[in-house]
Amino acid sequence: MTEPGYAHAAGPMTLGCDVVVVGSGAGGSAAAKNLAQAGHDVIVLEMGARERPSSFTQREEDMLPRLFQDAAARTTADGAIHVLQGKGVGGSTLHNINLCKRVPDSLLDRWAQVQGLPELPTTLAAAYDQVEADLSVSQVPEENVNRNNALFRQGARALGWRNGPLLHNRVGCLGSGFCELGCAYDAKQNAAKIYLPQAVQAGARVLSGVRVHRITHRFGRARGVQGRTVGGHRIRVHARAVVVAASATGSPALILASGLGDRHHQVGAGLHLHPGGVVGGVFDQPVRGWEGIPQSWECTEFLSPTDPDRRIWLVPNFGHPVITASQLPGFGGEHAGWMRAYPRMAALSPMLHDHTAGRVAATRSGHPVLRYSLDRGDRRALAAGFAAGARLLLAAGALKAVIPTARPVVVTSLAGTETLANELSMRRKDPPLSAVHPMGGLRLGAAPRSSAVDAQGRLHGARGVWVADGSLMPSSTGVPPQLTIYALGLVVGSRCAEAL
Amino acid sequence: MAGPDSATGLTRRLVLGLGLASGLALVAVGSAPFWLASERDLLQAVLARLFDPGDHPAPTPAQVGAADAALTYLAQLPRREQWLCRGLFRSLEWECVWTRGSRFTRLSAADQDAVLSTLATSSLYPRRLAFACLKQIGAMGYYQHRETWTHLAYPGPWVGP
Repeated sequence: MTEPGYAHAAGPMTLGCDVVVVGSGAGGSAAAKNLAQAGHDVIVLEMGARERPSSFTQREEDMLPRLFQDAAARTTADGAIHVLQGKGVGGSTLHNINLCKRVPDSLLDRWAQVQGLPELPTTLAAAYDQVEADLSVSQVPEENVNRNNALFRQGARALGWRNGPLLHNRVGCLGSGFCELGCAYDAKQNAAKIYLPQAVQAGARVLSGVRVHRITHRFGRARGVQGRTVGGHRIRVHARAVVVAASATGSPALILASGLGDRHHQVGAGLHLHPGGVVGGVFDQPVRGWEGIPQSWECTEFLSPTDPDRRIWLVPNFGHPVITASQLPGFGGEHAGWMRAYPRMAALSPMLHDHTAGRVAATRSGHPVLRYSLDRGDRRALAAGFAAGARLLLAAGALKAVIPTARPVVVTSLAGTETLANELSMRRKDPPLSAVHPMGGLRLGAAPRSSAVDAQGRLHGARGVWVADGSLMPSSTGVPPQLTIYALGLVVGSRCAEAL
Repeated sequence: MAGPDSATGLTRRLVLGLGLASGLALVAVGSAPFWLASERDLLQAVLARLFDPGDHPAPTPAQVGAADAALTYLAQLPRREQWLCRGLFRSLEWECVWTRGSRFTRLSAADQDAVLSTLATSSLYPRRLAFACLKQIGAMGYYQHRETWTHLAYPGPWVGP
């Protein structure tokens, strides 16, 4: 049954509105809300479907293709980093783990200084306050810290490393542990549940199943967008302004494919991924890491927003069987042996606050191509992160820690981790990495020579095009980006509403 | 006697006939399943080695229909990625003719293990990447089944059957 305000595109359509928002994730939903509440006629286009939480099956083979772009098989152009990005009404907020963390003030100050954005820290602070209130952001209660996270905390404390709880946007969580496959209990206070309904209530229309291929423009001014439905029918939306919120990979690719002005080649530049890997630890007691909230604790001993020598964020991580089996080393008997340890395994991720700046390119159809290859300094930092992860798990009491390189590295004592960082930094593209926080690609900044989008959120190279998603980040954030994306969405939505 | 007109008519008929045949062929190809039986056989052979339970009581990939399940997943990938997978399968199958004298699917289990081990630990990144792809596809096909979860003490989803 179709709910008022929501529709799934099934045939050719030509529509008109004041503002068309491309993408319905954190940024797009927040921008649409502010635009609609300001009285503008808004259409939100989303490539995925509108998924009902009650239809989430908690099965990897079903939910990964439904909730992730390219059926969760997207990688960087060289295949070295698996890049997971969401789709569906609500975007990546449907599958993320609900971590809410502000960009630290020191990094915001640096952005303000380097990019010529003096008002950004103050503007974002107010928007953060609003998002945190709207999304009911709070700390995970102690009784919901699962065994995997408790062991992580134990290891960090044993080593005297800085650690603490994470904030989440969830209410009424049952602790099923299937967060990354969508919450069947609708406990996520996400874009689909909070901001899009507010936008719809204010008159916005949400059209799912539309892949936007092109921003139409004339004499340097946007006129709307063109796209196609899943079935290939043509969709046209005429609008006075276009808000691009199709993610840090999708938005630059769309702008490139549209042939909008980019004199200084800034569109697509400055892609960051927060690449990370997995370290497993086998314990003598059951861990059952699949139970409960996957990530409720963090270790920031090796993370500083601005110190180039401290760029590793350690965070618990756990996968269901398909994901875990993909990451554990070897095959046949060796692999089966690791899988038998699955119930006694704890896992964590070292995630890199990356200096490497990649670039988003686009195929002719507007599909993103991610050119990103870790530089030597980042490889070294990540290797140190893997070593630190192994150390933490051993300090928590693991019998052994494993890093799934091609020839797996297994360590059984803290002493064994001493030379690990050097050993790992010699390897290129090993172990396999994944990324769930793409950002950058349309950086905010005052100067068109070093940014693609101005301080208001407008594309430098065209009139009538606004950007409201993770592509705005001028650098890696070093923290999960969702809260900042929501906040930027609110800010850009307001600015666009005022400008119309 | 065939004059120029009838010759032209013949050509026109031929062209029309060829066009129609091509159109029908395209329709047939377009509606045919992307994955071929030979590719399914190759995938089944690979999965049998990747997830061989050995002496343990877990089911074999063939027992749970892992190859078909993996192909169902592959069919949901963008077409470009499906072609890349097809290339990977074919190169694995036929490379063994040069290196081991027989196609991968016709090698003994020990030889198949040796081929996969060479890929997994190769110093050449594209070969390691090929192995990682095979394992990801295979894991999707094998570990989606409840029969495999019971051996991991994994209870499975809270919802559904």
